[in-house]
Amino acid sequence: MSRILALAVIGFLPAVSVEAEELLEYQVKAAFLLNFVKFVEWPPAAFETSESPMAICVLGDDPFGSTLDRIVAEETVDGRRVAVHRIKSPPPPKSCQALFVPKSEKDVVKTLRETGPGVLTVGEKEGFLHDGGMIVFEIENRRVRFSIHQIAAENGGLKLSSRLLSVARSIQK
Amino acid sequence: MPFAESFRRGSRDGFFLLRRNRFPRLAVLLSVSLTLDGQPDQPGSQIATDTLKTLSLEQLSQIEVTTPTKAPVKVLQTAAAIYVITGDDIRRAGATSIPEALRLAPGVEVARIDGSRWSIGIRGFGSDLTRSVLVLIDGRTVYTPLFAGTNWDVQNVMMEDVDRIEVIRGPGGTIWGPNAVNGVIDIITKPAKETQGMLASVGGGNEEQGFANFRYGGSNGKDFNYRIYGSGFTRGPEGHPQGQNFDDWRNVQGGFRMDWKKSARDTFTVQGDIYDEVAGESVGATSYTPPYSQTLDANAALSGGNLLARWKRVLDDGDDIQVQVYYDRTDRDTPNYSEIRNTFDIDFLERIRLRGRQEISWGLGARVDPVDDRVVISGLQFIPNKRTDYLLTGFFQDEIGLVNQRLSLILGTKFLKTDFTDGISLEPSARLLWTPDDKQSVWAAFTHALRTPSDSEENFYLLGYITTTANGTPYFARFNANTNFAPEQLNGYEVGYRRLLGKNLYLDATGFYNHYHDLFSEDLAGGPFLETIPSPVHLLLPAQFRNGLLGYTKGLEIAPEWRPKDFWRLRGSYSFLHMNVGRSPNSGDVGTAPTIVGSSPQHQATIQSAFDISKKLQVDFTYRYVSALPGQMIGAYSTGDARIGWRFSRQFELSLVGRNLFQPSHYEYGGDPLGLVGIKRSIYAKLTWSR
Repeated sequence: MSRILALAVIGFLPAVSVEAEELLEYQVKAAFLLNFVKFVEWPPAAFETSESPMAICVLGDDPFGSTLDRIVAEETVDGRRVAVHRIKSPPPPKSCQALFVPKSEKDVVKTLRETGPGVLTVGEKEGFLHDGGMIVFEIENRRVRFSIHQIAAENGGLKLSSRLLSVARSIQK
Repeated sequence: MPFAESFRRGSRDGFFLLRRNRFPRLAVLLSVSLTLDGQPDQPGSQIATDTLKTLSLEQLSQIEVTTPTKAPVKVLQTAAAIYVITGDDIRRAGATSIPEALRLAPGVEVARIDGSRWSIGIRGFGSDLTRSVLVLIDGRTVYTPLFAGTNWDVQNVMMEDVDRIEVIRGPGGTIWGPNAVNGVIDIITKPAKETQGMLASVGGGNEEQGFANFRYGGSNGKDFNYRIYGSGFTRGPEGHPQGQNFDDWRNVQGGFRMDWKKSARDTFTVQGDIYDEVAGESVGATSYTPPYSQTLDANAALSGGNLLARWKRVLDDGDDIQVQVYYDRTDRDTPNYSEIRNTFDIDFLERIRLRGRQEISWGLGARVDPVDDRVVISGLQFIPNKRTDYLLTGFFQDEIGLVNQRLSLILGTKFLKTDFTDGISLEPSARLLWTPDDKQSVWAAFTHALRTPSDSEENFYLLGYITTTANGTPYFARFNANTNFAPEQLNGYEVGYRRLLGKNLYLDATGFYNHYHDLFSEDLAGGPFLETIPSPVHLLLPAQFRNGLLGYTKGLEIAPEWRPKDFWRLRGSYSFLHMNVGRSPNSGDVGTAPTIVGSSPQHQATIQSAFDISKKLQVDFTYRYVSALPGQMIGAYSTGDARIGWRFSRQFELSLVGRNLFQPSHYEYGGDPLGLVGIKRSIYAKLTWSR
């Protein structure tokens, strides 16, 4: 018999919260997000004005708490202030430069379809790249890693630095 | 009655020769290395934001964000007495074998008999033939239908590969079926994704004379991960006052695992191991011809391997199905018997989530084992010597959420049929789990479980020498096969309570009452008579293994865990066991009950301290107390282990481990024909390199 059998059987109520671990996991993911926007080049048309902030948007349920805000506080990228927005639906054009899609998001395909070009889409759910996303976080050996869908990024008008590509766990072309 | 006395001794010795070959006892679920809310094992649950911002992409990729056991967190929500030993626990305890690692779990009786043999029981009935604990390695059942127990000497895994060992005390018959009567021991290795890169470790000491492990893990960078490993050890004999240092032990082993995540829906795993061992044994042996009774000191040649494949598919609505097949070959060539057993097993499982908070699981399984037993000594025979054992199982279980997910009821039953049972046997259970809040849970369970008969009851002839009569005729007792041996039966009642007290203290308490009937007994089956075949003519006292005992056990297990500081973890356990086993009316049992009752400790206690002096330096201590085993002539003992681990560079760790430190040697269990074997104080050093 397999242990899956066991899993099937006893104790199937919702798991107790794993706040601590998630805290650390999302601290690291938040730090990655800040790094991503530093290592990606956007076309000028992706911003409202030359003064507009570099907006990292979190869709739906926010897993970061205040972590992401603290990470980006006082950070600038190419002279733009980095800002965090929480949004409930796919962003209108030019309002977000990076979009984080948490795993709580149900219909990833629809979300990505409704997100226009010029937005770096970052997810954490399996199959995110397959669904049309650009960067996905993965847990490997208990560490946060990420994989990249280079074509999707290029189609969105974004240029990923070679440094980002070199650290990625895998690159799909 | 000196006659019965001599019979007992004869039979016991005879039985021990069987035991010498390791006939052992068998009995689930989720885990914990409870990361007490807010304090993961790994470096720094909180990293200062300023620090994080300065880390490079590469450095961010190196931060460990989860503890080795993530699933475990569900322990609080488990309606069974589960304890999880993590890979990290094993490393920090310095355990070099699965049995030694099992000492970390409360309620488990681990007693080392000699170098390569252990008595491992749960909630009583411990012996090297332990028949009511079910042991699995990555979904492969390693219990043998030969004696319904586990050959611990060939259940070696590379300890660095172990993700966790889930120990379930109490019956798990509904899911696990035969032999999951007193407990289940589920050994789970890491997925290939978790073992990428290279790892090598070498070491040695006075008992662990030398060992080496090597592992390499690779991937295609996407959906396919694999690892291969090779390992070996040579262990010296334990303490022998009479000087017979028979129990040295050498092993070489290798294996692999491949995980392929073909799509979001389909996952495939293929894994296998192959091993070759030499283990020194000392066994009593009886034959019809002179010298009727002797003690053989010789090496057992043990080899085998296994190959397992598993396919899991997630269906559109979140349900899932799983199919698993495996093959296992066990080849034991020992001083008093020889067996080649090939096991083929297939299992199917489906899990269906229904609206209205129900989750249904059902499954089917089939196993066949063609076996060939070759006679080595005439007094120990399986007839017919070529047979095929089989097992067919089905199970159904429904978990029903009752009140706002705070109360749930789990009802289910197993159906099983083996070549040793008539008709279909049922193993029903009912479990109730109440979680008033996220910090505590209360559970209760009733289970009916069976220990199905095995070859050693149904096809086995075991001779014991009593004496030679005045006219020179040898006088033997013999256990004859009993094809009517019935399953041993248990009705188990359990209650448990778990609670997180504040952020740093966790408490787990379980009480149980188990009522058994049709328990294994050793019965006289008539008066002595002259038997001419096999020759020479001899006087024979016939005996049989029957179902003549019944009784109950009751007990209490308490396992607190306290983290006074981030860098210090203290765990303790106390287990109390009371056994009452006796003859049923009309039983002809010759008096096995006192031995059974006297072979499991009434009290056991452990204290473990895991202290991180710095991120590079860890110090661990373990203390354990085990009360006397009058049935084995073993006194109570206390002893302790210690380990210092120093990670002196990113790639290297050096550790020094001392085990059984309180005395030069101590006795833990009887069972060898030449008397008790002292388990020695041992020390070893180990260097681990990984990248």
